[in-house]
Amino acid sequence: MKNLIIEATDFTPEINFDYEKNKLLIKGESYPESVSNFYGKVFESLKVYFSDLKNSLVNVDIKLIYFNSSSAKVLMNFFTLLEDSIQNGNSIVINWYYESEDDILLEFGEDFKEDFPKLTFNLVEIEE
Amino acid sequence: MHIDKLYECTKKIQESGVIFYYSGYLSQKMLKSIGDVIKEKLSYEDINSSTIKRIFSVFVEQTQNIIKYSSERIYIDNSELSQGVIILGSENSNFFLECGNLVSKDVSKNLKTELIKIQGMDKDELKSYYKEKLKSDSSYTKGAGIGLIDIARKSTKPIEFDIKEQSQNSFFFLKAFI
Repeated sequence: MKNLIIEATDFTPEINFDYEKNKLLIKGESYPESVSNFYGKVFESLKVYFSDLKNSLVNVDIKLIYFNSSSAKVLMNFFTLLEDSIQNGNSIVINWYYESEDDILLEFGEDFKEDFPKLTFNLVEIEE
Repeated sequence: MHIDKLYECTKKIQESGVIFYYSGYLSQKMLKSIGDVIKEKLSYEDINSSTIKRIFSVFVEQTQNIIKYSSERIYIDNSELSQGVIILGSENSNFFLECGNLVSKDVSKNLKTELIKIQGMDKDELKSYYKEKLKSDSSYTKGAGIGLIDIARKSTKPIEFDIKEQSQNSFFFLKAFI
């Protein structure tokens, strides 16, 4: 399956999904005018990837410095998709990066970690 | 404006604590430009990066609400623009962000109900309410309706709002403090 690579724009993050190596990266900012316009194709791609994936370790790096409320909903759906894939024997590791002074990002990370106990959720502090 | 009035006006604006005022048509592109201006201005004043991020975050939610829900819209060259007002200012030791736009009477009724509910919540209740709404609908395409709760969570005081009824529409104002 072809990897999904989308360059960052002013309002959308870099998407680098290396399906061969089972490494997913979301990096940058997310506040597009329409989340469905951007994330529609991202989720289409992920659904195909997960439909076939069994007994694999997936590493997810999330390096977002800002995201709007609509994007929070997208992240919720993304983690739900990841959690569902555990049924096929997959294990998921999420590395949630946040800058030292960014209490908002840290709190979001803690909340998502709490909401998805089946995912291995690491909160990774970046020194500024 | 007559030149002697301009000085009066400038003085009044400074006294009211207004740092940035925009009234007109807004688009996502303009959101980016205005956001950059605000971030740069605040960094010159040595405001700490966490506060700047919080202000930017509330600004994005407010502006995107105007873009999505303003009932005053025009179409120019395939672009849709929405009319609204955005004000950044400081009073006492807080920053404030105000937004205003026209909405239909139905929308203003729903806004009023939702905002009264949100105003009555403390930090923990806002967090629970936010999480509940975040999980509620499986489709993300409608944007989840959590923008107002997000603004309230990032605000250091309860948010304030006002609705001025007009003949066909309502003018809706929201003020958040950071």
